[in-house]
Amino acid sequence: MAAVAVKIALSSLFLSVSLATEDAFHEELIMRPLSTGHVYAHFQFSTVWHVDVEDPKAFSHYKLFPKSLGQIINQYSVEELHLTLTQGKWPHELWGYPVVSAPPGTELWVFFKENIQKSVDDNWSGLTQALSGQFCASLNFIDSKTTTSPKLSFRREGVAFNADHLNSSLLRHAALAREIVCTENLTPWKKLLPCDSKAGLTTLFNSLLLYSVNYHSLGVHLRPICRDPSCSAFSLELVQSLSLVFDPVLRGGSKLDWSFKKLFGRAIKSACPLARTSKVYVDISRNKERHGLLKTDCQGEQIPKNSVVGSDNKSPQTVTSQRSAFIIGGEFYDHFVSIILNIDHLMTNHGTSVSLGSVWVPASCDNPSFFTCLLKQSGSLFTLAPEFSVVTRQMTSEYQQHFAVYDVKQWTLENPKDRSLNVAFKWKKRDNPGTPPQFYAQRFLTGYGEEKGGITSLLHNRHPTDPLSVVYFTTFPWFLRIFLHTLTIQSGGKDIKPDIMHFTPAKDRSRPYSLEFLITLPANSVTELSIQFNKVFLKWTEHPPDAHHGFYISSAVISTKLRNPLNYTGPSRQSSVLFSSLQSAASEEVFIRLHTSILLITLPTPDFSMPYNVICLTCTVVAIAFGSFHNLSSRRFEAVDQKDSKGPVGKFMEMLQKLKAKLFRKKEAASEKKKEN
Amino acid sequence: MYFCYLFMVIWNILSFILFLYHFLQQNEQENQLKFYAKSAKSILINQEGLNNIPLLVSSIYLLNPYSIGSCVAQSTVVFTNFAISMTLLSAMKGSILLSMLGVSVGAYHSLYPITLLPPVILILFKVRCIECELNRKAVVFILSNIGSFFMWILFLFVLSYQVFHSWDFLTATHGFILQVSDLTPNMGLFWYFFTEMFEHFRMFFLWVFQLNAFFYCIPLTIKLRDNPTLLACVMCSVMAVMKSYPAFGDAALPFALLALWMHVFPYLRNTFLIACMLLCSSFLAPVFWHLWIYAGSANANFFFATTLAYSTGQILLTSDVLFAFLRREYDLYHGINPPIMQGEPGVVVLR
Repeated sequence: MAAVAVKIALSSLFLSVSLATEDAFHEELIMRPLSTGHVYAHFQFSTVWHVDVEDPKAFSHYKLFPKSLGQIINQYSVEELHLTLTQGKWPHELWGYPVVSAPPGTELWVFFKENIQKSVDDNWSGLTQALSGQFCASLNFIDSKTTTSPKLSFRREGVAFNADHLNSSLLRHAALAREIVCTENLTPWKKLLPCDSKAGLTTLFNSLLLYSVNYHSLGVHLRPICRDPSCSAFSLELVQSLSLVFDPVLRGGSKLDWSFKKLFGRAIKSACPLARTSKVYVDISRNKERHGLLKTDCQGEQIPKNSVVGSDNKSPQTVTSQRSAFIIGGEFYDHFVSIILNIDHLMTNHGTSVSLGSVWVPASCDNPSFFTCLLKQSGSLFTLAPEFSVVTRQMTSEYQQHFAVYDVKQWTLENPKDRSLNVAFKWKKRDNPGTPPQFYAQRFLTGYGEEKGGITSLLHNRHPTDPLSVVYFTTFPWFLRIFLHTLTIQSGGKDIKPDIMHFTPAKDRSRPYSLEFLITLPANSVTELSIQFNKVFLKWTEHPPDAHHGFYISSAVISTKLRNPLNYTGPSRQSSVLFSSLQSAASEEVFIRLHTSILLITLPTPDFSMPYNVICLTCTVVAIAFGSFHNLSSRRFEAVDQKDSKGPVGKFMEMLQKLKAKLFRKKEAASEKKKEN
Repeated sequence: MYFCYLFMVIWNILSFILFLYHFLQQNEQENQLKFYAKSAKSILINQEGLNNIPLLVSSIYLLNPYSIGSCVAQSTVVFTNFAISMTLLSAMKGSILLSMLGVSVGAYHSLYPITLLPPVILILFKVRCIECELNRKAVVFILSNIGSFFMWILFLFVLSYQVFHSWDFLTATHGFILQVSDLTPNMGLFWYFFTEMFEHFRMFFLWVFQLNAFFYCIPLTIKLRDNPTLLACVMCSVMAVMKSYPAFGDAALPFALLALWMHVFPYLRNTFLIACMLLCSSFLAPVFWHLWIYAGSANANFFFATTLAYSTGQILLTSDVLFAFLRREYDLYHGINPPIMQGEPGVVVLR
């Protein structure tokens, strides 16, 4: 054990030393077969730039980091930025948790620097305009009507430089549920990568096939990180992610089997030469689960005991910061609930306990054939080709995750003739539908008619014994008049009182409603949240094109920390690489953020073809009032002769009669003359 | 519950006004009797009719579906109605401070009752200043009225400022009334007009419509300077139609006050038309609302049509009452039989 610990310490030391010298780029791909038969592919490209975010002069020389983005960050004093562009709904109850949760549409949340030149709101609006141009997305529609500063749900994920990091005044969050993702967003996103889509994992990006999927999520996550374990210097980390959920059946053939060629239309032929790591991981935990790790027929090929590393090796290194008050933001997620509840043990000491040591060991380095053997067994669920090595991740004392690893760099070196890596996955048996995860949520509209409505959320806590603390954050546009007194939180017929609640009422045409509260869900329960609203009647110009389609209500954000979530792989708080440190060790809690589905609400519409008619008719009524009052107040009654009393019509008729009489008289006169002649 | 109580209070005050009013009216008639034409005797107000009016009017207000509806809906319009009733009552009793408090509470609460300032001053002038002519004394009297009004309204605003510690409430209340930022359908003229308005004309029409609501105060005050009670009633009806967010409760008050003018009803011209318009629009409005909002089988135009008819009906009614009043005045002074002109009876027209 001690030897392993030393090995890890050495390796992490080496990593940190090598990191300190130059920029780094990593490309990774996780493939996970989902229990519904779908395939989840998550690409993560991380670029680490050794630059201090706080120093604006440092943003002048670029190597791997995209210059266009760097300039935007510097211009608008951005400290941390998270942007996701998503299409499709992620059903947590079927698919478990994604690596990065994203709401349908666009979500952008940004932390600005403390010593900002202009106001935060000015920078925010400038940033949204710039990002709108950068990613060809309609982020310019983000304005004060959609922007909020949630107090509990969003915290810094990177290093926090200032002491009052819990102050949400530097945070801006906005979501546009209507925004659609397409190739026009993918192309500028790809251009931020050092290799573009010329080499490496990005060669799999075939726009045609990339968008005929069930779920598609582009992400850009920027945060400052510690350059070394002692945190003496800082770096900037840009993580670009692309999550896809494929339906293999739709990709030709009726089978659920898949391969890179089937899903992406091509195989990986090269690694990005600029990348430090270029790896493909396939989740094979389900296969293992089926058989049990140690109860196996592969006699003599048992997994070496020291290859699976538990929490023993995770010896947190206590780091004292050189700056007086800085905190690794990630730590706060693990403690955010306690902080909210004023058990503020992190803020009291400036130097905080930060674990930077990696907690994984490539299990199969010594013994790859064990897993290959497992997969080859007649009872196994699926087979995977070509040959692979395995990493194991200890989730709890009983539960582990196993990933098949393909190192693309190594692959291309080892197979110089046919360099294309085509991972092929074949089901041997029909998989059982998986169990829903420990916690998930649903949200839907209630009510009928276009006057009133309601929104109800169901929060499922499936843990048999433990209650769960959850932060629920939701915004409503100003055109839904939310009534806070109608908010009910019930679980099994009992009312639940929120522990903390923040509510900001909306202002017409300038500010949305934001509602955020912390509640504790009882064990093994379904909690129902509901709130009622009235719909506002908008001006005809405020309706979007195709007004009868309705308005999208952005999804609610639910944050919690789970103990031992099954099938969860999250981005690491401490590392730029997904799999360098699989962050959670046994019995540690994992921060999870969920986004519920978006809602579509129809508002009452005016008749769009009527403006002229309405203006004319209403003005006529006003004119009737004005005319009659004008008449009555500016004239007086007089008795007149009946002949003079005729109105304009009468006078006109009289004139007509006179004219008629004249004409006829002339004719008569003429005929008389003729007769006389 | 409290709304219902307030409702009763308004009812009581209203009936009280009417008692007071009938003394005033009698005085008026007695004062002017010597100027009236001999043949006008048949159109004079008789004592028996006057005695019935208070009961009639209070039951109109009490049993009016409009006022019952606004009581059930707990509409805040009852506060405005209460302020207006209080104003009229105390003006007739000759209390300057109380009547000005009523006007300022009404103006503070829904802005438009500020147009009641001239009629109330005129009523007070008539009650308190019987001897004063248009001299310095009269000017001082009027200025003191206006002064007390401003004193009250300033007091209310400062009180609100003390609560909020900022003047933001002005844009949120009176600004909200003037800018018509909420376009929720009501029985008025504003909502659909400004829903469908072209953006670059919005400001112009906003000014036109709001000025229109206040403007009638000036010509009508000049015309009806000798009959401020009628002026007050007409201003109430104008308010009920022309305000930016009218409710049914707004119409309940002028309808109740209408019974004061029972004696001019024979001179009304369009009674049938007006009755049809008001009845049809009142019954069709909820039907069309349901069809538009819940059934989805009609659109906004249907409901808009009923609100137009309702507004037109009210406008016609108000102008008709005004016409009938003026026409009766003419007959009072000139006799009910038109003069003979060129051998035929003449016709009385507006010239």
